[in-house]
Amino acid sequence: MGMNEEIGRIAGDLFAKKKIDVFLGYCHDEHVGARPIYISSGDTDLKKKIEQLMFDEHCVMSLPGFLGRLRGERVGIVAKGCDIKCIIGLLQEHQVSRENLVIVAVECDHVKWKGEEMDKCKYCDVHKPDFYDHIMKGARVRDNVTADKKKKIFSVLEKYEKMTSAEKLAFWKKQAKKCIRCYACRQACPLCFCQECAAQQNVPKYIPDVANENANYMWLMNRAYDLAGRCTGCMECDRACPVGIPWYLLNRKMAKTIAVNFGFVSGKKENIGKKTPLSDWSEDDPDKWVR
Amino acid sequence: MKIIVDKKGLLKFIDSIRKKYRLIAPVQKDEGLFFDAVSNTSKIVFDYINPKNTAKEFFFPIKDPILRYDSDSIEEVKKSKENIAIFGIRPCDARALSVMDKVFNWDTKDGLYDNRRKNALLIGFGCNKAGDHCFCTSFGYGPHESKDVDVMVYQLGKDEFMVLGVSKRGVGCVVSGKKASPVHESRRKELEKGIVFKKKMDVDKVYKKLDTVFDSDYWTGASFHCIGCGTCTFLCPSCHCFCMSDERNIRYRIWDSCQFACFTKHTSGHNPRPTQRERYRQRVYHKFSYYKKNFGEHLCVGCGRCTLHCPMKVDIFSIANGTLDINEK
Amino acid sequence: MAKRNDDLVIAAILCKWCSYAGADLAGTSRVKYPENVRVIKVPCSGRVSPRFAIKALYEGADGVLISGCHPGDCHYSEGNMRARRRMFTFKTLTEFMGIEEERIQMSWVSASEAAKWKSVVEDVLDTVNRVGRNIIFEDGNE
Repeated sequence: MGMNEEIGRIAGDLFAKKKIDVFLGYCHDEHVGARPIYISSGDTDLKKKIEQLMFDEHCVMSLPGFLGRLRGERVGIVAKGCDIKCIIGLLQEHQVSRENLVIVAVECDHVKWKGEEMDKCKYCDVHKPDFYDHIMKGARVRDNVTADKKKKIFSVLEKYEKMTSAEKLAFWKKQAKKCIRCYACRQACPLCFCQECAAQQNVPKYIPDVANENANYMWLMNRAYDLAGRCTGCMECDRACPVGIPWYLLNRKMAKTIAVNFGFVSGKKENIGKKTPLSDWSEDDPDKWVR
Repeated sequence: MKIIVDKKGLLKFIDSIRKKYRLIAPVQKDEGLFFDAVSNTSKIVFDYINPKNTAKEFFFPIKDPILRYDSDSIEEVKKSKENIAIFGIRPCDARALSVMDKVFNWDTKDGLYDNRRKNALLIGFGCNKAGDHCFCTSFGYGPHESKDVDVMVYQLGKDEFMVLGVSKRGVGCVVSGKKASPVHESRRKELEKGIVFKKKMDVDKVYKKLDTVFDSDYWTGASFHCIGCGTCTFLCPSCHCFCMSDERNIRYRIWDSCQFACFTKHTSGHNPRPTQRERYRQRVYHKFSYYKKNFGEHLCVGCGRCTLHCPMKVDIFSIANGTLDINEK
Repeated sequence: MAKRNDDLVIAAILCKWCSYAGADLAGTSRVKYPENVRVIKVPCSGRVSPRFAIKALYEGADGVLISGCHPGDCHYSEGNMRARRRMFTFKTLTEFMGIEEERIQMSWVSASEAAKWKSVVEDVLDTVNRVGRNIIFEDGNE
């Protein structure tokens, strides 16, 4: 049985045994190859929808972001390794409960957007995930990245870390100038789940909402900080941004800071039950910089 | 006057416009093709379906200063006297401006918008091919429509363009050149006929159907994968919702989106559109139903940008069309 | 004393129990220290969100100082420890995005350390003086 049929079989089985209320998966899309599909136990065309379930390299859109609006429902979800990292983040932060979730993991070699392999796939260490309820084996799937290859994940930052202060400011202000404050980055992110975003707060207004260079710079900085230690590098923000702002750089920089200084990496199943890095502290935290 | 020019002649014509107007035209940036200010006409791109952004941001800017204030005084920001010319505006974007004129002159006249419309010269550029998501013909106009611009340009061949003045001001701009002949006009008609549209909607049928399916369960699943970002509304040539923001002693009018969760949130905390289901439904209704009820024509112009740039490929065309298949008991 | 730009403004966010009391003691003891500091009192340095720091810079401050109780002495037991980790993380972000590291600083000043308060203010001012007036948000408001 091919992967598509296997996913469909599991979904059908879960609905038949009344183990789930909703199934989130992918179906074919004529324009970009694949898009999310929402199947509810009450659907009159349930069987037809289950037959549409599939998985291939076009399944780039992330599904865990939709779990927030399904609170209280039992959900079966198709998840690539990067999606599972986000689910782990949501579990760690108590946004989803484990018993309401059936994770149908897929072994994934890479995903494409606009015809090109996503950057994140080069550094992926979860081609074959290790946290799931069901696993769909894939053919021709790369091995999880080896240790020395993983060091390279932060190599993309080197060019930007080496710049002078003035060059860095000019670069990020140039990026900020492009921003139109559509908040696609925030909406696409599975871990941006605040009921009231800091950018919406009007009194006091820490992040100005006029779409000029300075205010957008504030938005970029604030969001990057709020994701520090939580972002899993799923790159949905990067992909969703209509003007090409390099969120990946900011988010990886924060991930590197947290990993190097506080020894925490998001998305590992051992994190469930632990505190997130910025809600915790250690006596060994760097102190020499404090007067 | 209808004239025929080659590419060099067209660029010369555009340069002549620059004497009186600040020129905006489609140019290639890192992040895609955008309408932007142009000082060097050789940078203008001619081979495209549509730039990512729309002409609306030059009339209804993403941030529009209205008042300047401090602790002692308030003054209105003086209306701009600047004349701009937008080259390369497709019939859909131009139609969107004409459609938006109605809401900006409805119960109150929007001086800021009207002033900019008055000061602008629109140089339209007819399409010779349709994008995957284009469906302008569904709205009763087409890819060669010239009614909404001042000057219209058609590309008849690799190095052959037809330029004609449409409005009084436009006619005043197109004053000299080799006159076009009936052969050129039939070539233009032939090009228009040859355009293949993948999408066609019976907007009247959808308009009638929407009156009966507001409460349907259809809306729950149809746009489920919408993440509620503002991309579609910000890249739409006819979306015009706004908010106010006070920053650094200036009161601005800024873009807002009905897809944001807090768009309809009341001070009491109540939100009449609490989930994405209600918010996406609102977008479909505004574009294909409500605007026609208020102003006699649809707000959507079929440019396809919303679907083309949506990160989750939510297709407003198929969602609106899909309502025709709803069979409510 | 080295030449200093007397127009520099330092936004100092001080915890009520230790640093603010220490600064207050400096005042009642008539200790002379530079007047460039604008004090904001918070109950604990752990109350400080890094948003305050960047907003202060956005509003024109040339430098930001966050000061709290010494580790182990926090009135709310661990607020200062959280602040330390947060501000450290935020500083790597601001530096990555082009804001000079000299502009955001942190100190531990206890309620009895009037002398330390004076030297902290002087040192912070000297450090900020190295990078001069804050013009980061001067352009880019249109």
